[in-house]
Amino acid sequence: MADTAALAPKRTKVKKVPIWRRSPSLVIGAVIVALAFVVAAFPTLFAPNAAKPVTDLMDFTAMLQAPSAEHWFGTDNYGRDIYTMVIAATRLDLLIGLGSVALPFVVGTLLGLICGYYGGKLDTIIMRILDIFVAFPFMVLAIAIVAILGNGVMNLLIAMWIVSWPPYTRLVRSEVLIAKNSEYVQAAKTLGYSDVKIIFRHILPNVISSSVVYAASDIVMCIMTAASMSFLGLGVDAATLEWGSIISSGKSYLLGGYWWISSMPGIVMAIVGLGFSLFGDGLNDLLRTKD
Amino acid sequence: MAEETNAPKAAAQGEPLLEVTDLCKSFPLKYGVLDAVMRKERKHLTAVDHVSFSLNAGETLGLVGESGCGKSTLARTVINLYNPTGGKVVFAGVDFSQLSKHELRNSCKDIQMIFQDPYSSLNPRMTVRQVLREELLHHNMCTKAEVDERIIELLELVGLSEDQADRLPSAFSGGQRQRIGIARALAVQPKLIIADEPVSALDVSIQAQIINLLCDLQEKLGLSILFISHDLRVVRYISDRVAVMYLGAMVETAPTDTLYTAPAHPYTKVLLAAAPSMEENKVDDKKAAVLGELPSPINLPSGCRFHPRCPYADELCRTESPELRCLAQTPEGPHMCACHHPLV
Amino acid sequence: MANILEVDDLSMHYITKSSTVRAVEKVTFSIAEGETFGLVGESGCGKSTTARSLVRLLPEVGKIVGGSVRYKGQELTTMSDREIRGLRGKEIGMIFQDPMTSLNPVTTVRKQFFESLKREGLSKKEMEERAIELLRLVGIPEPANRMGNYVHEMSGGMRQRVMIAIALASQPRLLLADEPTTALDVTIQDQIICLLNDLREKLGMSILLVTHDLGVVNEMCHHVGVMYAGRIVEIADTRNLLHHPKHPYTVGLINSLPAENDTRARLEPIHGAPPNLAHEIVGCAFAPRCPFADELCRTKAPNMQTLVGGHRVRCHHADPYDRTRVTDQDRDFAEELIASGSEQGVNADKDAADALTPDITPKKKGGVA
Repeated sequence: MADTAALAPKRTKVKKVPIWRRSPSLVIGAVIVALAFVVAAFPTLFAPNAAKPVTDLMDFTAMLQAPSAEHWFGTDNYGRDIYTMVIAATRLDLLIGLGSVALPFVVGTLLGLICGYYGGKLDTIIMRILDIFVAFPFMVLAIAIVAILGNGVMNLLIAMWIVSWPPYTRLVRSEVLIAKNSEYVQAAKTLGYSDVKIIFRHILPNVISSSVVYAASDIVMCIMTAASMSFLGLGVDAATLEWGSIISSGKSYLLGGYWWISSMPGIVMAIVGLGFSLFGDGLNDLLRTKD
Repeated sequence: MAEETNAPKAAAQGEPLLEVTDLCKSFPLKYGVLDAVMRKERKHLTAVDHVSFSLNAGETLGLVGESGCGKSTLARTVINLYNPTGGKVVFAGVDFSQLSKHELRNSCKDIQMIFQDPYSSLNPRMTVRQVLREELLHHNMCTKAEVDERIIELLELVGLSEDQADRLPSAFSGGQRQRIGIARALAVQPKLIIADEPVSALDVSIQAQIINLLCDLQEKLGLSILFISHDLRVVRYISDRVAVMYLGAMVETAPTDTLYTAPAHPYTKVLLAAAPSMEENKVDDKKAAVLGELPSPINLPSGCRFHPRCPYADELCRTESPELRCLAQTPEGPHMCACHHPLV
Repeated sequence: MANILEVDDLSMHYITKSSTVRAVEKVTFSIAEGETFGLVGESGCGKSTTARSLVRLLPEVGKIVGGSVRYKGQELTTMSDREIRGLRGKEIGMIFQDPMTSLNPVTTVRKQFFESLKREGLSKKEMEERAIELLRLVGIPEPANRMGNYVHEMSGGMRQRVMIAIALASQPRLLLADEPTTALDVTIQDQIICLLNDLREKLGMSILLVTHDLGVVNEMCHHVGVMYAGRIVEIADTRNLLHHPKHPYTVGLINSLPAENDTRARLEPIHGAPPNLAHEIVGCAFAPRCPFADELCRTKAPNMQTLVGGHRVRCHHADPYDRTRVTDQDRDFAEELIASGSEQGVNADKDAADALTPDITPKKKGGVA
């Protein structure tokens, strides 16, 4: 039609700003997170002794040595190289972080979709159950569950799953409530699509971004919680290497001036946590501008 | 030079394509536990109150009214986005109230809707191609192999080009998005298109493009259109017949020229007088067409809804609600009016 | 009649790290005392931005890069922030499009009045009385009862009236109205237009009306400026502009609207889209979409030409005595019109017919190549 022959798409080429300038946090975060994953996947590349069982690392000639060229993070009271232990623990911590978030993310999102779309009694029931879960302080509930179930990674994960799902449901549900009334959903209904199709094909891609961003920071929260529980002696057992347990093992030496046993894993944890947070932030900006 | 027109057509013979009789739609207002305990009355918002009209094949029926008149709710009830609380909708001889949920879902593809807001009527995360492909395949409009070809045809029909098919809605302007919306509606080859304020959110020069497009498509594809708008000028231009609603009720229906030159209902007269005109310059002696606020649809006036603002209201108007009656028959259609003292 | 506002070559740009958007370019107009001046155009043309630039209501990235704005002789562009805040909301009032977002949703009407009247140094009782008086002035029934209402408790028309009343609280001499009726229903819009016209007459106020609706312009404005791509392309008194438009864009706008009679002649939309204001525009901003554009139009930006009767057009081909542009087709068409005694468009005057520019009168095709 002659009318539109001259019509060009609205956006004329604006200078393409490179991604590191648009969202530096995304890039920095991604780098840190990627590094953490690589360390978790190939610990021996970074610390040759990382694959050995913990008892092999003991070296009674080098106990409680401060950080030096030979032992970058110093040694603990058994002479074990802290750096090697931290590297070795990375895998478990990342696994816990991701594992704790994966299930609540999926289940929580699903519940949020159903509650938001259908509303009614089902929505009321699920939201009231959610309120009950949320009424407990996050940490207290996790600790209580682990105390009941006993130590071990699996029980730790179960505890995390039970406490982590509410925010996802809430986030997704509120977005669905908005999306459900938008005209493109009404259009999908007039086209006779089934509810399932509308929920998963049309609504889900539009409501998931806030969950994804939340998940990034939730990973940090879960790692911290797991570490805290290990610090308290719950969660993983003493023989398994985990940042929290390393920190815990060093706590009685802090007053003696042997700061590195607890601090080094703490710093590493903080950096990894920062990486995930920045990544989540950057993702938020990116997803926001795309809309 | 042949003058291209979009002139009205004579009324089609035979059964109307769409027949709406006494349609009602009300929404219950929030009624909580405390209200129940205090035995308060359940309040309802009657958005559509016993509305009747018909639409013939190939014609454009304009539907006008101000906020709260229920035109959008009426449209959505006809298309089954809402379930009616009373009355019936008969489309192409099929009574919607008799259908099961499953049958309803299948039959509704013959009525499609074009929405007002070009910025929320398209899924922000689906490209044009994805949207069209999904509906073409869902309704078996063509085989998988033919889909891409059909998409190109549809895009050309609405004045877009193929290389725009793989873009997301955010890459398009308001006018282009409306074209995509029209393509989406046309993909399933509906018999009736309900256009809910399709040009209100667009700039004037783009409005003209879309209006021309709708007129062309109607001619080319033999569409029937229910055109909802508050812009009287556009409605006059595009419609064969016009229906006027006020606070949920149908107050007048007539062929376009009759309605605009000799309206029977005082509200129609007021509406026409109030519309800003470009004819004489009235800066120094303008008078308001009607006084008073639009009442809330929750607390409707007694008797005739318009009586508080009507200069001709009398005791009868305050007590009895008028029925929609036929005042005259013209070749283009009947002139119906719901007024105790119609102006013609 | 003195001019209460004189704008000369006003330019305002949004300056960011990645681009400079020339939102307002060399805008010149003036508003006489007691008259309404309209700025009309489509979205993105810069009309709202111009209105806000007058009182420096701009975001951080918005900078006035040239020109002058003189209110009662005082230069506004160089005033200190404090001085201009003293004028804003007092002598220069403002009302906006959507009262729901421009009035405070969490405070009562009374409180919002008081915020405005506090500056006058009145006692509480005096402020209450003045507020009720103002509500009555704008046609709100039972004003005393409305003082305690919140914004969401009122209808759209009421809210707009309240906004107007608050703007009037400090007796402004100039009212900047940015699309005040766009969000309202037709019958309410009608009432507000009447109200504003009445108030203007009663209070001797001047109004700058920003709108996209030519009908509203016709019912409210004495003079009108048409904006396109940040520039004023045509400026005239309302009657002349609507019935004898000279700029192809204005003509295009008018032709895009369905006529107010029963013709169903095909609408003539303007092809193409407005230019991107982040890029430097070479030549006439409207040239890419103009059916009459030639090499001159594409290379040299036109200046404002003043035609007879104070009608100003920013177009190279608007000179009414430019006979070289009049083709035989134009002449035939003009004879035809005169012969048919049509009121629309061309003056039924032989001299004018000779001196015809390619003036496409609305609703008729002719003179188009």
